[in-house]
Amino acid sequence: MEKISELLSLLPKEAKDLRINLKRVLECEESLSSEQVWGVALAAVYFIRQPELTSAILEDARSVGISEAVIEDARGAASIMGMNTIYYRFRHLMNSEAYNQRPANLRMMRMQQVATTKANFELFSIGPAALAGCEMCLKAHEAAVKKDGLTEDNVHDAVRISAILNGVAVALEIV
Amino acid sequence: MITVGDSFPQFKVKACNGLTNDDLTEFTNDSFAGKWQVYFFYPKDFTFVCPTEIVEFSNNVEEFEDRDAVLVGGSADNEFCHLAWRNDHEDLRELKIPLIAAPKLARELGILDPVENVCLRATFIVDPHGVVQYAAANNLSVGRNVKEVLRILDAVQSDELCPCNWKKGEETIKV
Repeated sequence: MEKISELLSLLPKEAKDLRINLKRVLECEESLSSEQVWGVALAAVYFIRQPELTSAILEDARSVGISEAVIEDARGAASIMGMNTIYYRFRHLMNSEAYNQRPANLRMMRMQQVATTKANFELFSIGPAALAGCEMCLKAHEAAVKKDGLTEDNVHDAVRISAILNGVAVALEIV
Repeated sequence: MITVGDSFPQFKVKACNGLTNDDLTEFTNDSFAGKWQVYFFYPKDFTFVCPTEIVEFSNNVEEFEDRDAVLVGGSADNEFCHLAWRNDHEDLRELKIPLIAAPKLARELGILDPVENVCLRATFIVDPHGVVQYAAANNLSVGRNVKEVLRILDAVQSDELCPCNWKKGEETIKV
C-alpha cells in the first residue's frame, strides 16, 4: 500500500475521512478476499479514470501479489461497463419498444471469457454499475452476482470500495 | 450443404502452412478447440480469382484473431499442390493462413460443384462448440468480400451477454 499511502498523503485535510476509509477497506477488513477487494478497486479506478489513482492502485495490487488474471478481469469489466452502462441506460431510460426490440449489435464477448471466475467478473462490474448511477444495470448486476453464489455483504462492500475511490478521485482534483 | 445449426463435420486434413516441406502439417477439429473458425473454400489452385481473395483474407488475419477466430482456406487440391502454388505465386508467399487439402471434407460439407467437382466459394463460420453459425456459397466465378465476412462474424458474436440487458416485465435476468 506504499503508492496509495503516498497519494493519500496529498489529499487536502478536508478529505481526511476518505483517506481513512480507503486504507481501511484495502486492508481487507471486509467480507471480500484480497483478490476480490483489489479486483473491485481496480475496476472502479479504471472506470473513474483518475490517472494517479489508477497507477497507485495498480502498483499496490501487484505488490501484494494480485494475479494478472484478476487485473485483466478488472480491465474487462470496467471497459465493457463503460459501454454498457451508457447503451443499456439509454434503453432503460427511453423505455421504448422501438429500441428494446432492436439488437444491440455490440460485442461483449469478454464477459463470457473471464480470466478468473464469472462471479468475480460480475462483482467487478458492480462498482461501475453503481458509479454510472443506472438503477436497472445495478439491479441486474446485483442479481447476477448473487446468482453466482456471492452475498449481499459482498455486493455492499464492493459498492463501498467503489464509492470511496470515487470520493478519493474527487478529493485528488481539489485545488 | 451443411447449414446453420449443424455440427461442422469431423475431419482430419493435410495442410500447407508455409513454403517448405516442413510447413506441411495436419489439422483436426481439435486443432482449433475453444476458438471460432472461419473456413473459406475456393475452386482450384493456380487460377486467377482465387489468389486475390485468399490474399485479402490473409491481409485481414489480425482482424479475425482479434475476434478469437482462426482463418482456414481450402480446396479439393492436395497439400503438395498448395505448397507448389504458394511457392509459384508471388502474392501467396507471404500468406499468413493455412490452406487445407479437403476433398473429403468438401464432399461432407456438400460444397462440391456437381459438374466441375471442385469446391464452390463456400464460407462457414463455426463457433467454439463446433456448431455452424453461418454458411454461404457463391458460384465459381463470384469472389467474396472479406469485410462482409467480418461483419457477419461480429454479428454472430454479438450476443447481449450483459445482465444490463434486462427488459421490463422479464421475470428472470439473463446472464
